[in-house]
Amino acid sequence: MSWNADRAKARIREHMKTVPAVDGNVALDSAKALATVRKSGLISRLPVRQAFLVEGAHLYGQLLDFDDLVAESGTETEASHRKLLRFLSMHYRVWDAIVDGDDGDRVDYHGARLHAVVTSPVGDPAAQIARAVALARKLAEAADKLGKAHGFPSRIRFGIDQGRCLAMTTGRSHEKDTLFLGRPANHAAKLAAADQEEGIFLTETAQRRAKPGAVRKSAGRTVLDESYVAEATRNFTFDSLDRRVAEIALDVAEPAFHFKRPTLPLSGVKFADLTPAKSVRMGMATIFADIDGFTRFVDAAIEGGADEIRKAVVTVHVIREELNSVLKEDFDGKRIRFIGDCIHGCVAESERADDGPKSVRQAVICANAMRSSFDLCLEVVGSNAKIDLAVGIEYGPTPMTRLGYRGDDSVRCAASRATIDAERTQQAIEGGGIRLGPVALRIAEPMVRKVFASGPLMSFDAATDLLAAPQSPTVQIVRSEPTARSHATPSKRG
Amino acid sequence: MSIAALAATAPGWAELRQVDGRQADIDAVVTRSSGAFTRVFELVVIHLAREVKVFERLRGQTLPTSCPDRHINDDGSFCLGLRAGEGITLETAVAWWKKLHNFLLCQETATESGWWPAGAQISHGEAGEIELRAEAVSASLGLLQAYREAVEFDTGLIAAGLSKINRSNGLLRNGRSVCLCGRKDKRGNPLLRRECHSFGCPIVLEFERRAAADRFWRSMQGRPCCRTMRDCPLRREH
Repeated sequence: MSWNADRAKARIREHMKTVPAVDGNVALDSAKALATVRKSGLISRLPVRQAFLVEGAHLYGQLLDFDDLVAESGTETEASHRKLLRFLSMHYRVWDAIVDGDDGDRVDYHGARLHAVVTSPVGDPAAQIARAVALARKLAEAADKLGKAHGFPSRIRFGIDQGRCLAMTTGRSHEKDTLFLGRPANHAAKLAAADQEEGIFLTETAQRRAKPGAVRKSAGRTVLDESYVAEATRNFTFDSLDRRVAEIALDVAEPAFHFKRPTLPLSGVKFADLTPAKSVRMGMATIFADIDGFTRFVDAAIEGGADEIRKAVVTVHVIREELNSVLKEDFDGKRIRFIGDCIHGCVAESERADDGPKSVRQAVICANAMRSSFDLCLEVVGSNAKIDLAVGIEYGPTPMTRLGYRGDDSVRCAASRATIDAERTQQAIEGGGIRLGPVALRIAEPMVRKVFASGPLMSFDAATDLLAAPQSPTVQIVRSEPTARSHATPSKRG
Repeated sequence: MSIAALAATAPGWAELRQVDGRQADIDAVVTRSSGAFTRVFELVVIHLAREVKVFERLRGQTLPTSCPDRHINDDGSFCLGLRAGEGITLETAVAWWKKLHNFLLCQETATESGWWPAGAQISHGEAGEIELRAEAVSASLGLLQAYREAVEFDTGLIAAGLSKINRSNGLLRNGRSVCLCGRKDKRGNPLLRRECHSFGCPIVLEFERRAAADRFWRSMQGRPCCRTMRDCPLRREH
């Protein structure tokens, strides 16, 4: 299978039919929307095919020790991946306790990152921030306690922002994702990932909206005031979290992770079939494809009112569904998650043993096909949004499984050095374009290295011609007529 | 005769708008990997002396007026391949159309990316002839891939062997040593470098090709650059 312009256009027209409806008032203060959002603490339980405007504090937690656990003595092995997944499983069990509460906090996680949205007390940004700070402190203490009990490091860096985000859920069953699009989610995530210093940090916006005295200057830096944190934890208790931590601390049983090699294509792997005991693992290329400029676009839409929000919902829905279709249908890849406006997926090509160069090449062609589809989406939607596509690619052995204890709602996970570096590589791209991570760059075929190491994305057509892919008509012509190779004659002038 | 042969064998993607004995106007649109169409290329084929040449009807309309790396000659004619326009008959016209087809596809990719697909070109000028000879020799030795790697990326066995060339005579130094290309005689014994030279050693031929390519680019010095290609020596010069 390969990318085809007509097929992509037909798919995009189908995606247009499944655009989530935007609530009439779009604001959270509409009673219906508020009731829905508060019904359950699990982000993915937001109604499918509906978009909401959600006001709240966004809390991102980054597990700082994740990177060090990926490999043992510099090598990624089944043992190091088992340890990594046990580490994540432990933290996810703690984080799951937030879901069990009935207080309107909502949570999601991917890889080493937790995302919680605190929507109560409604209409009180300062109190929402205080509640998020209290939750962060509780989670840090819980992680510390459990880390000691289970022998894992537990440093977490939290970032908090507050404001309105556009929330929408799509997908089915085990493969459902909810996006929070807009400045608060984006800035909180960036703050959490910005440094290696553990602790709780507020964005400038959150600092302005927090209760006076929440932050103070210390050695030229703005830090949370400890008395503010203490007051927040007194005011907002998380009893279910405390109970869960006590249970897990006593429960020494950990999931046993067993890996087998998946049967290709990867698109055939179903997360519904994966459990710790039935995890899969092989060398694969990881793709992070992010819509550059989307946060600005969504923020402008939120400011612009219902019509603009509807347009933004159409744009993001169509683009992300189409990127998923390209990955899955055209390149036999597997989507792991949508993360905000970003799609995280994997592509693998192999006969029996892992084939790194071939997988990287396939991922590169897939990335350029995504670019072609991205352009078609903007054309069909009629959007003039100043957005672009940025794709990071890295290669390495990667396990895939589901973690947590929530049955159908357990977390889809692919975690490895390649996963970490693909995301970082994508984040390092200025504007749109493609970039290969260090391993992918080292093992890639020379032509992939020469043209696609770092630079603009091209169309699928140009990429297949330059990489001499079998579907390229230039390859077919030269095969049938070997003399069809252009030349230039010497100059007749001077 | 040539124009008539081309008219008689024109493929579906080429619309002949006006044909006379020495000239034909062609509108061409070809299909790319994804099924998408290229732009419309408005071309004219002219029979001049012993060969046919093809140009844009309005020079510079969609392509640069001249650019060695886009295979467009000084006079605006397209270089579809080595001696591609010579001796066009009903038998050879089909191949000519294939060359034009490939040329237009590659132009679209070059416009977009700044690169010409590597397998769809040979070196400019005299270097192209040497390259074809070196490819034939390399293929007979099972070294075609290594040779292409040397040409396109300056890496691999043949590229590494270039450092052992005596630049004054263009031959491998230490002629009594086993040749670096690994050529063997009929009995399977390795050939010495001085013996290999007489058969056309791919390392020596690659050295010759590079020297010829350098001469070509020196002859182009001072020419204007269209700035559409990413790795063009003229662009580096400007």
